[in-house]
Amino acid sequence: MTSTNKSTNLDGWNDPPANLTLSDNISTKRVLLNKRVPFTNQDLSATNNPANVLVVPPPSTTASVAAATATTDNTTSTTTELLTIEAMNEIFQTQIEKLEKSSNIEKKILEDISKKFQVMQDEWQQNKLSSNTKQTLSNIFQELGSNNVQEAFDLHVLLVRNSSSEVVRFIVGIKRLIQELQRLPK
Amino acid sequence: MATYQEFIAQNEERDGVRFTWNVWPSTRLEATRLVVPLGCQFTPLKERYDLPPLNYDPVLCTNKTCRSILNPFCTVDYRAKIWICNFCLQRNNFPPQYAGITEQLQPAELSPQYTTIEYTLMRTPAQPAVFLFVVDTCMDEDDMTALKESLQMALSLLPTDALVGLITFGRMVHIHELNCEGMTRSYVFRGTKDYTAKQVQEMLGLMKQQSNQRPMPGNPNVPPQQAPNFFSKFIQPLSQCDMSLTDLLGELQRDPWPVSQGKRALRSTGAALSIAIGLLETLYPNTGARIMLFIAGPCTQGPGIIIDEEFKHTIRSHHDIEKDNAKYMKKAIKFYEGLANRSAVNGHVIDLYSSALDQTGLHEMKYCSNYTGGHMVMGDSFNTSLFKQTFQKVFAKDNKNEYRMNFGATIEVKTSRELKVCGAIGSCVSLAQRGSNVSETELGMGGTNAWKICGIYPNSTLSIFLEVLNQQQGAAQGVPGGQRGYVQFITQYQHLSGFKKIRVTTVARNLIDATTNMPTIAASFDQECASVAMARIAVYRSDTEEGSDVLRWLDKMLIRLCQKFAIYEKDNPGSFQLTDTFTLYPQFMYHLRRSQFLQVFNNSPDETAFYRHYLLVEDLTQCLVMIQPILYAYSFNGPPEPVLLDSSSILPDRILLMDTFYHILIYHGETIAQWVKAHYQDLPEYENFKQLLQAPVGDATEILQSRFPMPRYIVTEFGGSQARFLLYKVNPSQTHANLGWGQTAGAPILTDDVNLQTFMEHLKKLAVSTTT
Repeated sequence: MTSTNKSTNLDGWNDPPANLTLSDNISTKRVLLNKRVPFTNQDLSATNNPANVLVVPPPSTTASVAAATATTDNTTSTTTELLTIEAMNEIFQTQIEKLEKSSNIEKKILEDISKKFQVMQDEWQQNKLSSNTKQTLSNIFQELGSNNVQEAFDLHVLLVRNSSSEVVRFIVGIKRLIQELQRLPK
Repeated sequence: MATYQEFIAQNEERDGVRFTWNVWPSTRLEATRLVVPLGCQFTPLKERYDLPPLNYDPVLCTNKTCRSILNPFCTVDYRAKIWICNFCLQRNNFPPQYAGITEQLQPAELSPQYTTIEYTLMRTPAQPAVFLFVVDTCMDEDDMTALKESLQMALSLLPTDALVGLITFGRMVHIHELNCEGMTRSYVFRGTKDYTAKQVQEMLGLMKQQSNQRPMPGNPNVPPQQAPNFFSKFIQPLSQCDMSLTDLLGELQRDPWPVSQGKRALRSTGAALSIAIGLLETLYPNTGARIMLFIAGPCTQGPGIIIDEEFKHTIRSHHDIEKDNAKYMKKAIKFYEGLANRSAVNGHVIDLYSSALDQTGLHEMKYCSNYTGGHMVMGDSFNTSLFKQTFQKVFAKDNKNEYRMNFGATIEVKTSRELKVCGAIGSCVSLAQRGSNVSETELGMGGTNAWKICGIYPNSTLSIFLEVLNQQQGAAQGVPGGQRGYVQFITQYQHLSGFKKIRVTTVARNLIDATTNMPTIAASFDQECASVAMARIAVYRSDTEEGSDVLRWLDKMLIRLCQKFAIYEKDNPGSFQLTDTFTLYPQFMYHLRRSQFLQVFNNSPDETAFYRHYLLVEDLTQCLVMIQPILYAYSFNGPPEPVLLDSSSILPDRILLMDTFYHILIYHGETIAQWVKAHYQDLPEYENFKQLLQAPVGDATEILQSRFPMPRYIVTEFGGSQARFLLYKVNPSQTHANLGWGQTAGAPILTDDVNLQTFMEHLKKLAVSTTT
């Protein structure tokens, strides 16, 4: 019996949310919800007075409307600008040409890399990627454009670590591009 | 008492140790009369970011039968440069490099704040770790794709110097050659036979490896040794075969053998695992390695068969096991236990990643992870975020950007002469090291003072049980303020940075005469630690004893503890009172008795094995969550607060967050659910309601981020079918039986289970009775 939901964010039965940013800060030092209330002999039935049950939620007063939950993005980004997808495409084409010129790489691999890049492009344009992911991808291509292949590789590892559910459909292609570039003789 | 709680918390923070009793009786008889055994929950590699880096070897006591390590409790004569071992009282000279120490210039290992400290051994860099993927190919297309993607991504997360290998299996077992140019090649074994390591070696043409020397880290000018670094074609450095392995994984197909109607796929899990272990035994004995086994169903042929291929023969349930109706079970358990032992001897970890809607045989295979410190992950499908995110976390790194997983840990316990070691319970194996402090009485894995955990993590926790020896008359005299007992835990392990490390934790507690000082001992009771210790003992016993016997034993222990430590008049249950240090303990025992660890009804044997595995692995706080789940309430009446795990806590105008470790559940009370349906949260003037809805989600997310494995995540409401997870866990103080007229509070639970109130009444009656 397979799940009928075939979207990319496939949720199995009682699956945890797919897009948790797994921070590197996985430490046991967090505010632990670990308090317990000791059992007493009190009659527990009298805790709810029907007269106090509200019919509608209490409206928020101006004072109590707190600031919107600050989503502190785990910013892996530096102050570098976000490239546009077209600029990234240009850098990608340059790199592919570099690989095509060198004779050892099979055409099939290059096609596969291009296909995966296309998937990434589509997801970018359909706004399926978070801003963090976009920034990291942009940084990867900037590094590739400046010939810093190792930095690009390290950045791709960050993507796999932190946003695996977003990048799963194309990251293998980007990784292969970087690795083939690493293999090129200087 | 606040002071004891602080003391316990401080010690846990610093040393990762919590004792069931913090003041010890000085005779063996008195110690057994305490009912709850003397022991501790010890987390060897507790996260400590403030430890000073010590890049030298520890100083050992020169007494050959002692060999304990210099610690802050030793008496030191700074002028004569002598230290007295607090375990054997031997006088030792400091080695020459300690010539400059003074009272003002103490080395870190003598400083009182470093009762836990870690040494890095610079002399012997360790081998890189091996990761061997053993992958079932009998699954449907979506699962296969999802699993392949997860494995490909995992390659990016492995340590850069890791060695990798790939075995796939279905009807046959394929050992894949890596880095083949232009084609893919594999060696194929029949899945119906078992293969010894020698056979595997011969058939694959393997050469037994000598340990390859890595270049010394930190010495970049020294070129790596020119000795031929020969890697077998089956296990190669990731750096050399990353691309070809990625392609190989991408091209994996489902098992091509057709499966007939009404039959299961023929799956040779046992043969595949056996070959994997044989392969690593030959090539990388005594090296950190992980065999990661991915299965999508039970083994249906060959060694370790769980069930045959006919669907009409169902996999054993607890009922079948009770009635001795499980045809393949005993043989399978013996087979997998044998594999687990072989693996543990070599320091190889076996992880089990099981993803299927039906059982896969975790009950038989549990020793593979339990003995080796491997993971056991149980899910419905590889194409779920539960599996994908859990698998990602296997390669998680900590704050210092180091892997949380470590290999090859051995834990040795030294004790002062007042104590002996009875045994340990946890995810480990015994090293059968018969030291002088090994007791004849065994509790858990006994007969040794050292154990091995092949796969160890910052939260891995062992329960270690101790025995007090009768003190000789002369020994207790002349020591002002009474005696102190010392325990030292020495953990050696292979760190993924490439070095061996030794972590040393030394603790001390006072020993007193119990006949005159029982209140002092009673006040030192750590009820949380005791609950976890008893839970682990109960689960350990469940392996070999009947469930009802274990429950009877647990109840008997509880009654005896209450008889000993409660304040009451004989035969007067109304007078029964427990002091603060004991109030939570009966509650924990109540919840433990009705937990999935001991109540196997409504769970499959695989589920029971899965739940019990984590009780044996996790640290104290998480184990307590498993025994008695946490329940927090969110409402407009105040900040989030913990509430009784009771049906009366389920109120209409509240949101509840329940954490059982295996499940995170958010429950909307009736009124809240109605407001959500009416979309109040979308109206700007009800922004606070939106925030109230978000609050438990935020807390749940925090829990989800740090928990391994990922728990099930359930959002439900009053009347929802998934609310059964909550209703099943809470104390049913209101049931359909006792709900009187006019009582509208809480959610009555349809159950015949005894509730905590009734349980306590019975307990009091039995404790005060002169005839019990």
